[in-house]
Amino acid sequence: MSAHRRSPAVSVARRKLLAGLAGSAILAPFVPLLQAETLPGAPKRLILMFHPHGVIRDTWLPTGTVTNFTLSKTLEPLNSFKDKLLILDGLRLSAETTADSDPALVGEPSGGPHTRNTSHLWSGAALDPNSSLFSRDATKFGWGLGTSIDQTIAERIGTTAFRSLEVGVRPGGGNAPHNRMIYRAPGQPLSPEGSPKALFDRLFTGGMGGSALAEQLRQDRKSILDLVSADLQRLEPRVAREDSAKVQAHLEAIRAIETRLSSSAALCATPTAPTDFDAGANDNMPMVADLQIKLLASAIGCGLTNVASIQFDRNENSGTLFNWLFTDTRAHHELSHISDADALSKLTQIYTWYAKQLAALMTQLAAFPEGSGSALDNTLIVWCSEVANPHNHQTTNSPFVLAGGAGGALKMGRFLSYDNVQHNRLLVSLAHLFGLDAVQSYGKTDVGSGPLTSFI
Amino acid sequence: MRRLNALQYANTVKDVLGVSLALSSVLAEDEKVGSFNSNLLSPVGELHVDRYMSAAELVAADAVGKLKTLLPCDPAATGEAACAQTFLTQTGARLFRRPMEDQELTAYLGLYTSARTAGGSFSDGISLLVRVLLQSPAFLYQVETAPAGAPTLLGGNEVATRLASFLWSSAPDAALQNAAMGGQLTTVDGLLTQARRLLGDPHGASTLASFHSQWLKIDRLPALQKDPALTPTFNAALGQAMLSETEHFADWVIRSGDGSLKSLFTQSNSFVEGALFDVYGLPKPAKVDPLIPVALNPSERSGLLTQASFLTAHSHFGNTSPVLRGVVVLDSILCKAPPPPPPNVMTIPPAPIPGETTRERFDRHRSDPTCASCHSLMDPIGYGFAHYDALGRYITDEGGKPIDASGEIKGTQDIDGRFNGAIELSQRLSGSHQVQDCMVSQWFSFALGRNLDKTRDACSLQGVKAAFAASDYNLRELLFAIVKSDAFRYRAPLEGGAP
Repeated sequence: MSAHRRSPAVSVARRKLLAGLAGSAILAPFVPLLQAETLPGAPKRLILMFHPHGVIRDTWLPTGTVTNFTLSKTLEPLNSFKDKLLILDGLRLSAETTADSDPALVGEPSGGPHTRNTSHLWSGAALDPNSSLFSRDATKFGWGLGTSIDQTIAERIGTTAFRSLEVGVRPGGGNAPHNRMIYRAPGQPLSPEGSPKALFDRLFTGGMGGSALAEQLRQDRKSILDLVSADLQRLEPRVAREDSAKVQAHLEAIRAIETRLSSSAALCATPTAPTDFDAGANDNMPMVADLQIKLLASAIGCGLTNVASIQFDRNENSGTLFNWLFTDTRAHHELSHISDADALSKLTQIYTWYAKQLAALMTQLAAFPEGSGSALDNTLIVWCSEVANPHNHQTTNSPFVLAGGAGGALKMGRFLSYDNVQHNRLLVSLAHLFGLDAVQSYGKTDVGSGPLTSFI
Repeated sequence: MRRLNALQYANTVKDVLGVSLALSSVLAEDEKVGSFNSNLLSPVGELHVDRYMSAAELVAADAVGKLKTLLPCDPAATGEAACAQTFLTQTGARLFRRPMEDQELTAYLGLYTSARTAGGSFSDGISLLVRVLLQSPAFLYQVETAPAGAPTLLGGNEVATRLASFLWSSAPDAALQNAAMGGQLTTVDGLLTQARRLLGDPHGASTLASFHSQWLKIDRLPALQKDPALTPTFNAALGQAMLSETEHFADWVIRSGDGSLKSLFTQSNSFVEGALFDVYGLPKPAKVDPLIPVALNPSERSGLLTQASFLTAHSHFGNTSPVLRGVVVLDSILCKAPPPPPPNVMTIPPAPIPGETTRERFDRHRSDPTCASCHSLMDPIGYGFAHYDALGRYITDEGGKPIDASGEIKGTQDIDGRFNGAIELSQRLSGSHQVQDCMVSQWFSFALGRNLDKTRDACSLQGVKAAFAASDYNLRELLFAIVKSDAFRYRAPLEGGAP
């Protein structure tokens, strides 16, 4: 984060934003901002990875001990990276659990299980039960009330051209909580970029490239954004309090883009631009996944961002047909509620395909040399889903897989079993791994304190 | 402070700059309020602003490609700087939906001048002006500067903006802006004169299409995946034909027909094209006049709910679902959404057993008492659609077994009871007070881009309902009654943000 964005004026704006968007009584957990220091050598990075509708536990769970374990069918594609995995069993999502100190949130959980847990997964918060912005059947709810952990960590390490990068692989239509997992602040979801062409353009044009035309475009963009910022600043005092928070968020987004446009030349060669094709089409999913993974790895390897997420598919009950794996007229969500042998075998194929995507991302990151290793050693990928068991929406034993490394700060090559521990503990541990040592609880649903035991 | 939705952005750019580009894939996705796209609450992030930048660049490149038609003046005659200023003043007023302020004019002209000084062409300078106008908050946000809290009568340009965005999904045209500047929109009569003009204009088609496709939840039809085994083959073209049929039909009823709510549910004739003729079991004529409806069999079809769009959008991949169809009738038409399924139940219907009808299959899941309480509301409405397959084709038997399309409506104010088939259901709905009230709420929240507030909007809602009843449930009059209401003419505080 650049210095001017951490100015007191912006902190005030942020508080106003929270107050305006999420109701007066609800404020984000107070996270003290440490001064970003120059990390020795390569920076540590974080990538959150998501796929919908859980896993089949029987074909997912490794067997063996902490350091001597065997991967099951689903995770088999990761076998060659076994010493760079940290598999966690026994964590539970608890979007229904609410902190005693927050009576406003006690009661019927908002949204369906897929919807509320998508917002809950990385933020440890629930959906706003006091908003009627969205409805599912008879219940009304609003956006999630938390900040996702990647965004909190980006406060500290998001010092690159992109403070954070949200990537999607068919992340779904309808800008609503079931399809959004990353929150910049309570009530402020960030949309993933689902088009490889558009992602490439964001990453590698305008701010980069040496041609006179590209330089002209960069200058034009800066001059225009300057004027737009001035307009926004003149507008702010004239609008209502709630709206001034929107003006501030818009200004903040512009500042981020301006920083990017001013950043120095590329650290590595620009990859070939993908062609424009229908990135939303069902059967294009493998191609989109391949391109998005490569672009994401390039963004990390080229130093464009330190914090990213990749969202596979969507949670408005996935209608994806995995035609490239097997023939079936039932889409993923429909299959996920069926437990006969045929469905279980097909579901395992789906989840195995997702594990392959993680392996592909790891392979790409490993291709960027850094120090004595590669970018993979300095990038911690955290992979999970919104439910654990898709048949009944259960969220105990959520399938957390950590992959890559945290620059040596986290011992990989382990399989840890916990006894029904809230996943907020893991969110706290992640904060600690990235230098936010003061964080002891994370998210509105957190009823405990401290990091995961025997983890770091 | 609402941000333009993608349709409003695209229509405005088309109307003001003459640029028709498929921008919905360039702009970030819209937020939904209830059934309708409305960027009401969540603020923009970096991705949105990036997308606005790209969209503005695309539009500007296209616009300066036809500079002669874009400019209101001849730069050779007036001088380039003077023409640029005229262009900025006039185009800015249309895009900002109010005259540009001096500070804006000076700053934007400065952008033009420095580009020229640095050696840029006239066209480069105009391109910069288009780009900055399209990224300015005055364009992207519908700014209403009256203080929140106390209701305040909107200014002329503000109410003109609401009117054009409601009835055209676009910006005010010159005539509407003149009426605003002349103070004619502060009276109900002046506002109504303009509302009648706007609804009668061809631009009104966009709003009518957008309302009906979102209200009936059929807007994603062209993107749906269906079982390739179905006949005719479902593809994007057929999905689009289905969607267009309903949009065209509703427009025809409201603007060319008697405008009555009853007709929406009971007119059998409709607008058929391409493979849709196969769906309706009709021979494809050599020539189709797109303005004249095709006669469909009135014993098979009766208005919106029996059209292929509704029946296909609310079916599963390869077979029909009384649950899906029943839920949309309850939710969209009766404004009576059933409660969500209890936690930890299987929400997938029972797997089909060969030889079983759809009704027999769904009866099995209603035998579970946990499910029965709600499904006894949804399914018996959905059973009324038993004569229509997953693409909306009319069928008379299912695997050799006769169709039982008897159903029952429960829990309504005025139309409870048994019925037989979707024709009777549609007739029943067409005269229901609950449906009439629901229609008022749906159009009202579409017009305002927000959910109605039970307390604050109570008087307005009452007035609109009375006017709708007095017009014998004429939808044109419903739209005008909404325009006349206090909720439309006054600035109300933002939802969830009581000061």
